[in-house]
Amino acid sequence: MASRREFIQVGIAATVLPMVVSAREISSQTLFQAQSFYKVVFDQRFPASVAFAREMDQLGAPVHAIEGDITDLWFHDLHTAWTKQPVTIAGMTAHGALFCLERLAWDHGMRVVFRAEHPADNSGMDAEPLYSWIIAPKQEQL
Amino acid sequence: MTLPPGVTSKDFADALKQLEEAVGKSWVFSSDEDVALYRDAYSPFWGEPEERVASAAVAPEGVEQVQKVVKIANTYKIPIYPISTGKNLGYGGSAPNLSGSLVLDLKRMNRILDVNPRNHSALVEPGVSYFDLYRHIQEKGYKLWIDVPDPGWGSPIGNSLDHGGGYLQPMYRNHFDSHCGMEVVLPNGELLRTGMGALPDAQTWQQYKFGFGPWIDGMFSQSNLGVVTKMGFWLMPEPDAYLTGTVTVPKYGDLIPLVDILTFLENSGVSNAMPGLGSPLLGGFMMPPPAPEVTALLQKTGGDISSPDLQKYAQDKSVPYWNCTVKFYGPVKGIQAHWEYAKEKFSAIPGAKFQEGEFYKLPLTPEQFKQVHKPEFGIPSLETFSIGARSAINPKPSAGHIWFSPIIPRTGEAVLEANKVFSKAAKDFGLPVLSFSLPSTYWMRAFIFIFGFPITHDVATNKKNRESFKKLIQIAAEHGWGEYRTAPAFQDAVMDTYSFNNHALRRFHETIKDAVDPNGIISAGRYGIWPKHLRGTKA
Repeated sequence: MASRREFIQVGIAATVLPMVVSAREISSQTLFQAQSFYKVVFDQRFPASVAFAREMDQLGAPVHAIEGDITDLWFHDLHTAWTKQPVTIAGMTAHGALFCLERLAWDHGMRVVFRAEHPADNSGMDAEPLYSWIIAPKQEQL
Repeated sequence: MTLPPGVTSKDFADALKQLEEAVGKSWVFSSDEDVALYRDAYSPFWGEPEERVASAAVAPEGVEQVQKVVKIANTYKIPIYPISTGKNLGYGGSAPNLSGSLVLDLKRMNRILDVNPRNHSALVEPGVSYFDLYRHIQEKGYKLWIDVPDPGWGSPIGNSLDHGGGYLQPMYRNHFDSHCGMEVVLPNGELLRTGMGALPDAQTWQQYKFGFGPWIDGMFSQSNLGVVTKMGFWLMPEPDAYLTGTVTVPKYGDLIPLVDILTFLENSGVSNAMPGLGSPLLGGFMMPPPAPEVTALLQKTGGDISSPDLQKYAQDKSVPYWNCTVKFYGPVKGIQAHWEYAKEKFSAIPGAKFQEGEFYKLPLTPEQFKQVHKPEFGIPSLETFSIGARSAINPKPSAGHIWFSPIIPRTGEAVLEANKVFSKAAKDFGLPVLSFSLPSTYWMRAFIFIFGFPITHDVATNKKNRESFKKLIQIAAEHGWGEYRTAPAFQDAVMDTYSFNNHALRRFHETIKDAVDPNGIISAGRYGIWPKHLRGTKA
């Protein structure tokens, strides 16, 4: 049996890159199963992020769309949720969204416990690298 | 772990134990992983030995616990560095000036103590963020706006103490100006209230700033003489409506009367929201890029924006050199009348043309809410972080930025002169140069240029940029322009330039520092003010 770190890394990579291995198969084994995420955040400006969300949705995760800006998600949802109790979220976003969520999470005893960069597809100068990530309570640190 | 200078491991361990007893074990952070969270994400020394890092952090829950922390710090002579929410990115974040300082993290002190909907004021603790205050006001249904910076995840207390600014009416836009009353834990642990707060049972703490006798609130801003634990703020009543109008003017020299008229309108209270200056010809930040012909002309003339060829191009193509967007809050009839009056004044410039812009009856509809620049409506936002990092003008994005932000005179002449000076300096230092930059209009009486200086994770590049930054500080000072705020790495260099009469100002600061904080425990080195035992060794 693989370690928790391996599960999560493979799980996310598989979800992002389905050609590697079935996301459904891997996610069913990981301690961070898709259904266990409070929210899976995706950025609908990026096709790869949308594909990620589609996979996670099929795995039963509650997905949440943003268009770059996490203000609404933070103000209307995560702040309230994290004030009550730390709950785990995952996502595939550009750097800015992760940068904000990570710092807001710190104040609630949460940490980024998984982070992977996916290079930009170079389809245009505005293309950005994306990041898949998990933010979990500090004690869940791998 | 980086120990505080001059403090032994044993003493520091003893102090941490006492801190745990004072605030609870779970609120003292000394593991490398926890302390790393207080690094400045945009540190110009990132990963270098000189990066300013904390030794540990402590998060008290209330004023009494702050007083205990201060007393322990005095006992062991441990420097402490208070932060509110620590989101001051570009100006230092949550990292201390002096490595080894204990971060006094006030995030748990997040109580909104009072919001007065009749007198339009609030009293808050340092851990209250703009989002917290906005949420509270929304939940209560008060028709009040808060003046927020952009991004808006910081705190009213931290932002105002560092002289931050926002976007609403001028009397709110300067956040320190709009405060009213403070509570401060002094370096000896004693509790002080300023203004009317010094009167026991005062009923006007958030209504009259000055109280009786010398007004000392300024001594606690950009400073290290105490820990501010409460602060009052004046809030803006929600206006009936919002209107913008843009004037364009055709010639290079028109910038001078354009600025003069704008200044008249602002100082008269006619234009009462944050205006914007731009150049349809030259493009720039948040503007469409210049036409290829303009770019070619600028290249041909070495960036001379006043060249006859460029002026002829603007005239032939009817492309305005400059524009100014004036903005108005108030009753519908009033703001329409003010816009008419503004047009009348700007019409003194031959060739001026006008276009009415956004008009909203307030509150915003949900659809309008999505479209507007939220800080101009008192709404905190993180939207600025969603702007793509990589673009045609920024193909290799940096890891962050620091702000170079000199105050310059509020005249068109000064804007043109500052551009010449800073463009030449940027070229000399090999920094990315825009064809032209226009200043920000946060303050009513002066302009401020805000240039983002890239921070990377490459040591050699950061070293080069730091040297350039220090040279820019000098070059600005030689022209009579001074920084209004800067990151800790450059605070000594900036304070050095405020040198009138053999640094009389800094010497006065030091005299007060020595009297009020003889052990030098509060924010050593902040804004170039060092305690006696470190003076001369750090600058």
